[in-house]
Amino acid sequence: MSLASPDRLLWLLVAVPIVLMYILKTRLRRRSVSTLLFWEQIFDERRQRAWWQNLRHWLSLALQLLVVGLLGFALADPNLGMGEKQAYETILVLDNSASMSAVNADGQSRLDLAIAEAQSWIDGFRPGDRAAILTAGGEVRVLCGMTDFAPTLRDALEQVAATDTPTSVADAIVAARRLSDDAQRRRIVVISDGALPKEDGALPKEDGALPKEDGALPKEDGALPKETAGAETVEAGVATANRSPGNIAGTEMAGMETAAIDGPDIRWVIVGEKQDNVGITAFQARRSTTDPVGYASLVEIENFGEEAAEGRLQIRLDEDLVDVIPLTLEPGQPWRKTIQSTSAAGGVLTAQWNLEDAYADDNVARAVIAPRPPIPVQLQAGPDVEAFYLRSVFRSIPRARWIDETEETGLEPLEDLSAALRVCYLQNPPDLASLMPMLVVAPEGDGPLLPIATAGGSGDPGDSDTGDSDAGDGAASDGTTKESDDTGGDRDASGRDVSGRVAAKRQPAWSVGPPLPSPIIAKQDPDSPILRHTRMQNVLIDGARAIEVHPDLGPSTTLLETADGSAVMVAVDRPGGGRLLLLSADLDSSDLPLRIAFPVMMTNAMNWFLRQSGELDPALETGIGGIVDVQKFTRDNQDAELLRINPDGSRQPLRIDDGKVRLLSPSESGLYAIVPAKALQEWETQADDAALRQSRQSAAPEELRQADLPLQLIAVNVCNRHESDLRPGDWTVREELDGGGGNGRPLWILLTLGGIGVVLGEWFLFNRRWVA
Amino acid sequence: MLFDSEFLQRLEYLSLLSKRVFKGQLLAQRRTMTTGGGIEFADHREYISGDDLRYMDWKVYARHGDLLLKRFQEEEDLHVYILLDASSSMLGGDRLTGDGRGGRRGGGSDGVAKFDLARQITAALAYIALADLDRVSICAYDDRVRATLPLMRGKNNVLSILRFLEALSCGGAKTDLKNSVGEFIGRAPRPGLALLISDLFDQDGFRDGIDRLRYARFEPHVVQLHTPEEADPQLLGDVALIDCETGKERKVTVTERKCKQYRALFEAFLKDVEAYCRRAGLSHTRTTTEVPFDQVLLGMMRSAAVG
Repeated sequence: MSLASPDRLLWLLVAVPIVLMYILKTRLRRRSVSTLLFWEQIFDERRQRAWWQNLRHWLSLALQLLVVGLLGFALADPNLGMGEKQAYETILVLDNSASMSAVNADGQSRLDLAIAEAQSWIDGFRPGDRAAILTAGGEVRVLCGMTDFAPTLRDALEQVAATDTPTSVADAIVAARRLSDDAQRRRIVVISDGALPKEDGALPKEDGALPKEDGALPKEDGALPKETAGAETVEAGVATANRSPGNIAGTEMAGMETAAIDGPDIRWVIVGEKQDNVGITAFQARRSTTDPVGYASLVEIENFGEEAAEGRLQIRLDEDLVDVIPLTLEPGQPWRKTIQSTSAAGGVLTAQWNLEDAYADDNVARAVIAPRPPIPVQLQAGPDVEAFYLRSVFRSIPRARWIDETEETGLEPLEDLSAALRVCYLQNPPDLASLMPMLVVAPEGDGPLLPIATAGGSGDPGDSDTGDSDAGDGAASDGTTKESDDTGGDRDASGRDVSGRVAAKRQPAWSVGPPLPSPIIAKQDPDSPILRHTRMQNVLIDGARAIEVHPDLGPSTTLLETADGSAVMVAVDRPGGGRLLLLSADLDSSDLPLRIAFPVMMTNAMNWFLRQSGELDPALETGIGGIVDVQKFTRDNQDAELLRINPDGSRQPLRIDDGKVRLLSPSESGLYAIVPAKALQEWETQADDAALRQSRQSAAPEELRQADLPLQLIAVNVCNRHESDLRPGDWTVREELDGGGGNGRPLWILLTLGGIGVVLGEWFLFNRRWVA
Repeated sequence: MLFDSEFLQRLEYLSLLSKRVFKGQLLAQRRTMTTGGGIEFADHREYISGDDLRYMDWKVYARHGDLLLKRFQEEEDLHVYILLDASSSMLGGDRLTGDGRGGRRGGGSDGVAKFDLARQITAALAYIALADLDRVSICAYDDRVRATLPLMRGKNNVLSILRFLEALSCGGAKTDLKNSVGEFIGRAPRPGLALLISDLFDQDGFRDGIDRLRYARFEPHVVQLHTPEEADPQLLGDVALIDCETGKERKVTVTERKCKQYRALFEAFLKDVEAYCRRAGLSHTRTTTEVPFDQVLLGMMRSAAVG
């Protein structure tokens, strides 16, 4: 044992006057009484007092001397069995995961208790001790590196904030061991509520996905409805979302082997009490692949309590109530259902459990359903062409809205033309410059001429000439005049350049061969989304001709081909332009439009043109990031700057990588938004006064959405079984680490408390005269 | 001043009140048990030779032929003796200083000294007795009779009584009621009502003295006084207790438990006195120094009226 201040032991000399006063105390208080009759009956006559008998209260004297001794040693600040070189390096690991936000019956959250516990540890540090503070909610954060300065540690404690993320205690312990490599001096104090995956004291392998048992929910459970294939589709979508390569945390955790969370250097401090809770453990929504305006959502909810919970699960799409499901949730039995509905407008789908419980954030989950606005479809056909089948099939597609050839699309040029469709029947498109996707059915001849490879150099369709090489009528569209001027040459009646120099370099976008003798489909592309759910083999397409697309037009895919290998349907994904679908079938003479597959194929084509594949736009989980496709912002502007708007209105710039951004470990559940910085800045500057401008600078995603800003919403939910389960398991709290004072408090505090206790005891025993 | 004008006014009020309460049953208006020369017929007895023929009941003889002699109830003045304890314990103990004439010592925060209250009660009782034409005598004692006020009658002697009481002081080495009663009986001309006003803190016990009064055909009435501190002493710790009568010192350590034992003993003592008086058919009044003397007298009157 060593003393920090041995000179203060001089205070022990206080014991001398105490003893003297005790011995010399001979003069008693004299009290006159009317009679001693009663007192003499009480006291033994034989007992007499003498001067030396002043010590008969030797116990009192001993207690007083003990008080002096304890306080004297407390002033000397003793250290038991450790010198400076044996000081501890303590790493406080604070679990600030989602479950730590649960509120106890006394109104205190588990995180408050954890911070108070950490504070007591800091108060107990002795000179020479060093400490660091880590948080283990979502990403491991080092709030404070190794320091022996207690105020710095206390300041760091004040920065600890609650998150909605899953716990990452195992990572934090690994990080803590890296902070201190001296195993003898290191002690890791994990302050948590115990709501973490545990298998014999070790974390299971994490892949960032739902726990394995989630994927094996008992479908035979009577509470689970027998859903249709749609449910399986959504479930598959959920699994895909959780196991997607874009799942950042999952990727990072995948390589992590079982991490030991127990060891001689770890002390677990479990805070919080066991509580019942109901939580939504999965919620995803996606557009239907068959119904253009339909969507399906999967919700899973579980009761992590000891008794059944009765309540209602409300499903809302924005403000509209979609469904209210009364539920009786048995303990430990997850309830899952797929809910199908329709909405063209889309929005934010919210599932909410109506009962309040200890942890509120897992009672709400959100998912984003993309809008499906009407698609203007402009038909370009000859004056005498009725195009009956085309008109009929597009009228049967709910989202398609016919407009005449001469009618304006009503869309802003360039920006929203990609959301419209031009259908050319028995005619070639006037130009390839438009961003508008095009469906060319039964093209009359070769396509418009591609631009000169060396002029402009980018293959920009806007620089192309148009012409019909077969017709050779010399009729050029309006756009050709300028292009001809740009090329600086004149053309003859056949459309060729007079000099013949340019013609050698300009090729038609596609060429069409003669009618095929037996145009029976022999092969279809099985991977194409346009042909999904269709079977076109052995379909006779009268009037079909072989199509050959020039490679400069863009990467093409042959969707349908005959037995001799002639492509009769080709999809072209033009870089920087609208998609193009070529079908060399005369619909008026073939039986293709009479097939049930034709409208399905056209519906698929609509989605393909508009790049709406019906894929799941997954809701993310807190603490687990994801990759978000933002091509709709970067398609027109590769240098666009995007901002991430958090639910609290805070903003972070995003780094765009190949049209995608990474949403790293969202710590808060709710709605996030990705917004072009330019549009956001313009919206902010449109504010009339400074207050409104300042308000807009911290606008939440929901406000941005109402302002009709171009944005992409991302829903982030807790949806974590381990965080919703507020019943910590049987944790064996390590009683004491080797060395150090009990409860981490220095010995001088214990000595002082002991001295106070002895003073109180002596007072009760002697001043209250319980001991005669 | 112990007996001021206000005190006298309260005495007069008590006197009037006593007449109204007792309606002629008080003190001198009570008949003696002896028959003799009174005027109120009591009963008959057979004529014996030598009896005074004036008391022969001739009407009975005329009707029945029996010789019966009329007897009359004899009326006489009641002798009221007030035995006042003037021992040192009547000062109430604590801080035994001063001239021993009482004052506000040991009487608690609101009360008077035990001896002062005793003297006030004595004066009040004497005044009521004189007002009822009884003969009153006061005898102050400790271990023996210290002072005696001879029998006197009539309200004109009130001032003499008050002066006698004011001149009294406490003292004596101890309280000896038995010895004092013996002396008192020897001096008393005839039995009567004996009002004993004391704290009864007698080292040898109070029973012998009172019994002796009873055997001498006195009619004792006990007025017992004590202070609140005597019932519940506020003593804790190491103290030297001094008996104010004997001067005996006792060094003790008073604890809560001892205090509790003391309170139990004192309560048992009070109950013992009460039980003794009940068994002996004596009237008994107990009061503390917190109660004014007139309230004590009123209490006595009420109990007498009920009884």
